[in-house]
Amino acid sequence: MKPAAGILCAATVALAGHLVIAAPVPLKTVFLHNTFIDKYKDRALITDAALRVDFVPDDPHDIDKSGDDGDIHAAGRPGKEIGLQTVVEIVNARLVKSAMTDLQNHRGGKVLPVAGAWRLWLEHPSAKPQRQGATVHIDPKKTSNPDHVFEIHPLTRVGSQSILDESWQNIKGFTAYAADVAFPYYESDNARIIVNRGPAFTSVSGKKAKYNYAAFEVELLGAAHKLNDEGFWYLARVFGKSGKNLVKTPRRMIFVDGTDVATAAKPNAKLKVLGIPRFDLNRVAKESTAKPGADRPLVGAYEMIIVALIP
Amino acid sequence: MNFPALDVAIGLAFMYLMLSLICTAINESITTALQLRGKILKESISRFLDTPAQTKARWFRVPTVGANTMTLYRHPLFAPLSRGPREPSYVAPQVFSAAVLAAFDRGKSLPPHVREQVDALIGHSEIRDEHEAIEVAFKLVEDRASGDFKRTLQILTMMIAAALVVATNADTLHAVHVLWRNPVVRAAVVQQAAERAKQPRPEPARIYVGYLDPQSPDPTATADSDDDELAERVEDDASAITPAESDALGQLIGWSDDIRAFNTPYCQDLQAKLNTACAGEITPECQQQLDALRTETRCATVGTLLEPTAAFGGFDTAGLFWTGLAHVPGWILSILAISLGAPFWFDALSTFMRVRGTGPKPDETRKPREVKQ
Repeated sequence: MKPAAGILCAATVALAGHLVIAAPVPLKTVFLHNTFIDKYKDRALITDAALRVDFVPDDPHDIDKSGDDGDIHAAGRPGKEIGLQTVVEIVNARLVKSAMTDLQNHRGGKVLPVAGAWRLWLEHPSAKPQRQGATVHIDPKKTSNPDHVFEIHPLTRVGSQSILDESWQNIKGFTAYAADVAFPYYESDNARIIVNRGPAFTSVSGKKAKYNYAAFEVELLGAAHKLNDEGFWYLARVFGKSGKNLVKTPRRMIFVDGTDVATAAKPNAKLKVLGIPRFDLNRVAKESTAKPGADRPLVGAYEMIIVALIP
Repeated sequence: MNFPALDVAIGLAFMYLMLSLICTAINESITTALQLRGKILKESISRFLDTPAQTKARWFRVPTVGANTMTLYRHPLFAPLSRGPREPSYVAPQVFSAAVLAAFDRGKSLPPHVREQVDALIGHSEIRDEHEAIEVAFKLVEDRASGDFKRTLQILTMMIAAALVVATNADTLHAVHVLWRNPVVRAAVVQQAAERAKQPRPEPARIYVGYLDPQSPDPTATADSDDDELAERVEDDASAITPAESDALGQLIGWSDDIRAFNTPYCQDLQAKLNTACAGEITPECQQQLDALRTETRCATVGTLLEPTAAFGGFDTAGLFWTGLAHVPGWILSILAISLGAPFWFDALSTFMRVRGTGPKPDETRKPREVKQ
């Protein structure tokens, strides 16, 4: 019966109720404690984290490209200082099987002390803003890669075992994102963050970020700058296969004492490296304190954790 | 010109227009399925041909009519106007007159009260003969039938509007709130309203029984062609509601928000239980809670939070009652608005869009839909 079909069609779709229009991409937000920013802006690592390890897979990622990076992830609940859903990652997990096993043995919410490079990056943000310091509850999805903006990645220590030597090496067989792809993104408006410093918290908002591991050439400029812990940094220019400088202004490259790449880092050295981006909390602190209470858009507010030399 | 208040008015006009179109389509389907026009016409003819005692109107069932009406309907001049069980809803006066006279022995055995009326018409006007007198009398029959049909249609429209408004929770006050507070929704609705204002004006509900249009009687019109054609046109109007329009409408109506509100305390309770059970190590109880969430539909996982969804999972009677009660004022406004009809709201929408500066100019010709031959 034609009229009935038309009515049914009209009435059913009228009850559908989904908004389907082109909407602006929503920004993701994390509220960071000002004390956390001020403490870690000049540190390479977080060394006294105790993680309640919830979910760890049986095997690390395969090694190929993109997400197949050979890492093993563990999702867990940290202490109040981190206060955000946390994922920790062992680079070259197959080369540090005992550390991997230790992580897996602490599944089910057991507490494990860990250390490694702190990393804030909007790669897996949740739909709702996260606020540092709130009690971190278990993720109902039971995944080792839940929504998170905070990582300890790469880990330098699992339990009492240091994994710096074996883990912080180039990942054999892995194709990281090319510098010519990653750095134009890091330097672009798409990777822009907006910071706003309040009395206790600083909000950091941005679009969902990308490009975890990048392979690039750095030219280290000037002298090394000591960090407040076991690391140092250089300002550096970045080059890709094109040979062109890919950064608008020199960016901070973070080196961890005891790694092979840290040993090779000298003033004016040109190195081919594997690196991971994170927020440059130094710049976040500087820009947000210059005008507290105001939104400050920052382009290129990132620094690179230098993991390894690429032969 | 860009005023939020104007956009809210546009949004409401759009909502009422969409719902009116749906209402009209349902209405027309019911009147066609129940052959209401035909029944009302038959009843009105019976009041002309039979005595009052012989005529009984039953709203949705076949009216009781007297022998005279049955005689007419069975006569070879009148019977072909029916198609099977579907009796005519439109009859040309000439056909009616010829059939009545033929059915009653060329007028010699007309019922006395009909004879009286016919003689009175011939005697006091320029009507020359019985033919013309019965044609004139039929116009009165049609006027009465149209009046009855219009009243029936109004009641039916109100009933359908009420059912539609409650079923879809088309609460005017809620829609105003959403449009006022949410500029994204407001912009989307206004965009769809602008597109709709460019479409042809919807057909008004046809209230005439007996004639398609009393100014232009068509002696060849039959019940089926007219009713089907009308139903098809109305269906076209309703089914021309685009997915984008229905999406926009869906932002203003619906039970999603209420269901989410129902689910909120449930999800908060579930969250508290989960957080307590899983505060430390993942115990069997914690694991059980986590596993139960896999099949949970009333709460969705957003990060570590459980957010209420619009999935209906049973209701609490008291809560349902108070929720319904809260919507009643908005529903009443919506029902009254929808009963004004789609053409009214189309015209209102067009006016608002012109004021806003994004609608068609008044002198732009929008051709009315052509009548199918």
